[in-house]
Amino acid sequence: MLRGLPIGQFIPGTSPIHRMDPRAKIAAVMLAILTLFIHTSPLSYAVMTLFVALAVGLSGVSPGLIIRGLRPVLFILLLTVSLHLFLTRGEVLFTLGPLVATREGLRQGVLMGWRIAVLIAVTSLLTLTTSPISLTDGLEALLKPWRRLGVPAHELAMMMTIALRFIPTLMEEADKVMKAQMARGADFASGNLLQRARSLIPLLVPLFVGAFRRADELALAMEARGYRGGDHRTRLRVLRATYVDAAALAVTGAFSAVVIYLRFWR
Amino acid sequence: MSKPLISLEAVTHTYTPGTSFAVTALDQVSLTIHKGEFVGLIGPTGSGKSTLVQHLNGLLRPTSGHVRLEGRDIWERGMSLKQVRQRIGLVFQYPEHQLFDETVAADVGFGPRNAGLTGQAVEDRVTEALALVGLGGALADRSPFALSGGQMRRAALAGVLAMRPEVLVLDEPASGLDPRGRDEILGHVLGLHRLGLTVVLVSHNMEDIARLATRIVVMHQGRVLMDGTAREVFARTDALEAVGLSAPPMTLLARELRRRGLAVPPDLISVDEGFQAVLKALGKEARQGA
Repeated sequence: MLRGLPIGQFIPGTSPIHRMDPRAKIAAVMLAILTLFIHTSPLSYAVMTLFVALAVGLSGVSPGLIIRGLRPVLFILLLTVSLHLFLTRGEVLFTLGPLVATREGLRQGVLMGWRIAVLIAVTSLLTLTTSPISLTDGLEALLKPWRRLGVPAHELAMMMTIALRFIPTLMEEADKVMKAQMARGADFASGNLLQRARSLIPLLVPLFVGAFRRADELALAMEARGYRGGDHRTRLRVLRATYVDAAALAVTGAFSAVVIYLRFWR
Repeated sequence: MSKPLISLEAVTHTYTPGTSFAVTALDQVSLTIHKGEFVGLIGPTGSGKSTLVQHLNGLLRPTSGHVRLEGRDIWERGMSLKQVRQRIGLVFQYPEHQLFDETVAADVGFGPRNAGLTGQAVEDRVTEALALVGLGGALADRSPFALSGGQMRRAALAGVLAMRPEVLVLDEPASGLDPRGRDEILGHVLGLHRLGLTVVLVSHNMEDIARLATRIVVMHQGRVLMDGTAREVFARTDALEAVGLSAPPMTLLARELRRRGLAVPPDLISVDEGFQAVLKALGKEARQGA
């Protein structure tokens, strides 16, 4: 039940995508996402799909893993497609009880689903090829210019690092508590919705108690080692952008430009 | 003592098979546990002890091989895993981390309620289980989170005992407790064994294992390395040390004495028998020297 979540599932590697500066990688992904929202023609989606396919190919991550990453959002994908299919006015394709499917709805739904799929694929690629630590390092560096406006860049990055660090721990803990309650005859899989929700109490209470205990211990351990936030902190890993990053951004920019061209000049 | 209760037949367990993270935690393990035994399970970290105990009550399914309870495969059609888990009580490491209900009594009653009991029947089970671990009276109506560490541990143990299991499997029940808490919980475990429960105890403390277990199983790298009485296993101290384990302090002392030329037996375990053996050896030497 808890396995197979692709969040934070970093797969180490040495591909150009892996070696990119996290700042450049995050920027490229942001640019790709924005580009996805510029235009909704099949051609521009094909361009962006090509972009993601190229990036996946270059990263050496198996395409199966990217596709598996879509599984958790399958429900949202299907919902999006069917909402568009049945709620768009136009030429009637078929009816399903009170629901009327239209040709325009089908087109719209497929395009929307496509957009979400590409969106998830490109972000999965980011988390699959970037270690959580460099991801937060990159985010912190990108947020730093906004510090004057009161954005707590370092604190946000630290919170994210800690949250990411504890996802596997919490999963393990959940697995353990679940097994312990199953050993006492608990049943998490059957019953109606209300019964199932209630059966989660013996899982959630120990999990929260454990999370608070851990947070407390971690705060104490950090303070004991003199942690005082971001000011004047030096870094073990200094981010350095190289020609690879420039090239990657240029390629992303080029794909973006093609989509913008398709949108405004054709 | 002779009736086989649980038997593992060539059980292999691989975590996340088919991926690059695949780990074989159990490799063709065969093991039979008889009614009334007190089995001590030892092994270095990562040797497969925890994976093994989770197979005993069907929390993990073997990748290959069979787990049988009184001869019947627990994964066979028509077997109720819920019933298997009720008969084989498993107490995880740090069991107090699974406490959740508003009162100790309600938490201990979780197992019986899951078994379909209600009202007075649950109350009887709770009272009985709490008495078995020495937590009676006013404590039952307190919040489990208001108890001391040792009391929480015992309340969690009561939560498993309330299902009236025939077999009690405990994973490091004394870890993290002070000496008094340790003596209390292990004392209760020994008492339960005397009441007729079959016990499987996982521990890193060789002295506890030597003192309590009638049989010791040593795990190493997913396989059974040794299986025998405490005396048989601890006589092979060098082999135990080779895999990162140790022997009870008395056994280590006996080995050192033998190295220095005192003729004590190599399989000493308790302080008492060590004392007698040393006296005897010295007496002999004194006589020879005279």
